[in-house]
Amino acid sequence: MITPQSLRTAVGWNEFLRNVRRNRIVSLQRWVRKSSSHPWKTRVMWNEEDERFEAIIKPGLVNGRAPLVGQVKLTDAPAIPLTAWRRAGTGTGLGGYDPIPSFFTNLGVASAAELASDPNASGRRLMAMDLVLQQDRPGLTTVDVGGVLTVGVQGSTKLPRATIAALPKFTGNPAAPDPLQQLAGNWTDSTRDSELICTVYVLAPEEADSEAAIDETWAPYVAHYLFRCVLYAHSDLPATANPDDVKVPMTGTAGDSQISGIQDQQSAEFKRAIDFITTKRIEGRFWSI
Amino acid sequence: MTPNLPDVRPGDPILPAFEAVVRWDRAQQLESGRNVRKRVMPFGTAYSADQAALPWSHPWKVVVSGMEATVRAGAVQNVVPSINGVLMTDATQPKVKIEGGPNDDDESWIALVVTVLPESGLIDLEADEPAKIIHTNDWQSLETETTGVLPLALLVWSGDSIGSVVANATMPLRYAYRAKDGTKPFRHFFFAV
Repeated sequence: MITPQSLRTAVGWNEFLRNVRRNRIVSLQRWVRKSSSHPWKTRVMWNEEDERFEAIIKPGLVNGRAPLVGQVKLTDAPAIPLTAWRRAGTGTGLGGYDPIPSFFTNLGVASAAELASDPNASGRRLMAMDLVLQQDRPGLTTVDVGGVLTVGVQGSTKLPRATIAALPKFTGNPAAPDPLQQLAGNWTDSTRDSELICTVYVLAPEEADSEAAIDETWAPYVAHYLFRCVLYAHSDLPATANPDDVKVPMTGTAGDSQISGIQDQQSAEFKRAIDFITTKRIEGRFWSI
Repeated sequence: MTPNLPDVRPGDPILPAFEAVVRWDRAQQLESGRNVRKRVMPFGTAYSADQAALPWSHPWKVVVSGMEATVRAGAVQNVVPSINGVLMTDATQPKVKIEGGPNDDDESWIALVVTVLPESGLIDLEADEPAKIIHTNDWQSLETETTGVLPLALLVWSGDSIGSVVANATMPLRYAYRAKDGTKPFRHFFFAV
């Protein structure tokens, strides 16, 4: 206790100075957690009872509505079983490859290049799964009706609630279809758009052998790709099929029609039908809000 | 900046130094507080702040209390919306009354509604309320050619009370309009800035 009396001596004064020094601010530190909480933030934990990893996703919204996991809304915190694992670095995926983050190669996992040359390359095993946001929507369909191509729409025109699926590998949305296939009739486009939420990795313990099954000793990691709630919309639905717009004489087989169309590029009907098909495709987009 | 704080020797006057040091010391005092930890050591005091533990105050942040909701101010296309006819930036802090209950899925929304001029595709600044914030349990049915709607937050109901709030919009917004064209319907688009 420093008192005015004690300050009359050098000892007291120096004691006071020590007190002052203690009160000097020597550091101000801002703690930032390794990953802040955001919509779609995924936690992975081991389920002792069912002996499997499960994921719980912090609710994110699509067009203001919580997606479904099975029949359960994401706002009810359903546990998503993770069972269909792929070995990371093998197979193909988005962009035609399945990269292994350097974080894992630094922990002893064989790189994708090493696995490509030797699927049994030594190193810790790394398994992966993708959690994917899926939005069902209408899709284009073409039907050969009595020799006339008819364009229609399959699926509900009212958007249902989005869903979340756990997939071994997210391969992106289907590429634009071949117009010739569409013109062959009896063809249906994709009726779903997808967006990757995150990739869940589980890393084998260092001492695990190459055939060890996934258990609670494996370490889970999550790589997120979606951080905000999203809106979704798809392109306009084509007007009700109008045979006058897409009158393609389909004499003989559909193939004959295609071949004759290719050979005769001047065929106005064929070109008009191609234009119609390619411009009417239904596609959707997600965007962050 | 640390001032010069020399020790004194026996016989030196200490009062002038003492007064200077007391003034300096008082100016240095900081207290710990919410999410701020203070650690006193012989050579000084360290403060650490757990910033991530603080709630994120973002535009359109909805906080529900009872059957009223406060919404943190935001702007859509530089237009500040109103609540019950009062700008949401007003010092009176207008609140959204939560009336009508949830829909069949136990959900409702705090939503942003903009009034649009279809001819220009712009927000109608001459309207009584160019942009306003409301509570609704069916936001999509409110959309018309001249009315665009964006849910700002989802209210998840549990019986007659609101169990949780899930933010949808967290950034200032841009707005775009596509007019009806033949068989193509009109469309309202909202984007984060």
